[in-house]
Amino acid sequence: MSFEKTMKVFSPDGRIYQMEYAFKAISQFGQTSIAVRGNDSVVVCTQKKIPDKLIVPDSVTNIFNVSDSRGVVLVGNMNDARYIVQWLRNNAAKFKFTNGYEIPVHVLAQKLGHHLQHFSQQAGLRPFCVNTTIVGMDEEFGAQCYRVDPSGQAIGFKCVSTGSKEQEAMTQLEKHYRKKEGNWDRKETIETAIQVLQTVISSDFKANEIEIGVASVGDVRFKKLTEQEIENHLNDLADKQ
Amino acid sequence: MSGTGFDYECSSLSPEGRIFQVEYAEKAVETSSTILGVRCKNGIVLGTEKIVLSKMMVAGTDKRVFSITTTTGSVVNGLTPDGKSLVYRGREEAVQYEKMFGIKIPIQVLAERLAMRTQMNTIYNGIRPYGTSIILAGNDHIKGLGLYMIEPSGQCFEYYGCASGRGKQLARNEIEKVNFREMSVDEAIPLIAKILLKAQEEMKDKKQELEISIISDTTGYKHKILDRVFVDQLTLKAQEEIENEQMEMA
Repeated sequence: MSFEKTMKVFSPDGRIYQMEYAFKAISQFGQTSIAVRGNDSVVVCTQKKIPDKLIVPDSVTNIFNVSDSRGVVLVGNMNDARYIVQWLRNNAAKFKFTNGYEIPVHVLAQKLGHHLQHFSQQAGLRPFCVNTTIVGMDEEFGAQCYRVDPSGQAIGFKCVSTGSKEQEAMTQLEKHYRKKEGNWDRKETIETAIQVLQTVISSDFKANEIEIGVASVGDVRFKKLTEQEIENHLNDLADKQ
Repeated sequence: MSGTGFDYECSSLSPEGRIFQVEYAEKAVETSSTILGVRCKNGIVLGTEKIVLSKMMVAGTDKRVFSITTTTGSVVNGLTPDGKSLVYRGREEAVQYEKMFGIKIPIQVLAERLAMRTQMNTIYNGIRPYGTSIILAGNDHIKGLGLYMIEPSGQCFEYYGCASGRGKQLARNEIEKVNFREMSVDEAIPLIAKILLKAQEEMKDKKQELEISIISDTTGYKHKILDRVFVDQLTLKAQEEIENEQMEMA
């Protein structure tokens, strides 16, 4: 067994196989997330799949608060995700304590990227099999959306999808973006996110099968929408079609 | 399922992105004693079944049910020393939490911390994963009753009823059939004894021992491990009932 595949070293053709396997691991969990940045709001959206009917529904989630106004959606190995959420929360709180204002989204994303890069270079440990999307209403830059992947690359996006159906979803997102050059208000941003997810998963959702987190200029706190609010948005979408 | 070369360390992912060491740890759990936890109307019941390995063993000393704080309990299966190690870690976390925040550790926080500790053993190549599933039960003033199960991969969910081990499928089917959420803990205990005994069907010829514990309003929401004599009587009664049911069916 060629050990460039079992260890995190370069193979003769310049690839790091273990990193590629980490990326592949993310899609095997069957989750997809959508994050959309509008004019004055940012929305993350993902399917809510409860693996077992004896599980309490509230304990299953992919969307977390990192601080009052920063949110994150993660797809992949949710056990690794738990560590990343804790790490992000820690760093956001430390930043606020040291500097007196909320950590800018791009700073948080780059810090996480820097941290994850260690796990791609150091021996004796494996990369986290999680794709993280950090969102928030930044005080300086407005709506922000950054994706951090297992190799530590932190890139800002106008719309991004991660997970098993990410290729399809990105195509759909580009289509929607071209229609209005991304000039969406809060409602349109939410509806775009739901529409793309529905197209990609090819099913119509009920209000308890989908999770949505929103932060917007009117209410900078990152909050998950309640079932009633999701129901209203789904009904509005259905009326439009 | 052969890893061939990708399964010696946790720090090796397979080409499909699987961590074989974690899957092997879960296999170790799958073939071990059944443990279960059930949430009832006024409390939670935890239980496990064991085979008494030898007549020379003093009954009741091979413990699988542990208290983590006075109001939190746990039951472990798989490699029992791994389970104990996790329980000790839980106790340290509880003490540290109370020192820092002044209140007893909420069950959700405890579950998350132990889940993260378990997950930590799935990242490095120098440590192997815990070969144990742990079911945690507790009551706190924030959310009330909580039942959590943590698996070797670090997966942790809150449950209404959960089971792990060789009788997992049977136990889960039985838990789904009976509406435990409407039952009180006292009504549930004999049913749970029956489920545990049925779960170890294949080992019927060996001597069986059950361990059951409860957290309910009758115990003041303190974790109470039911005493040996009571549990042995329960076991005998449940065994009789199972035999009668089988005779009726035959």
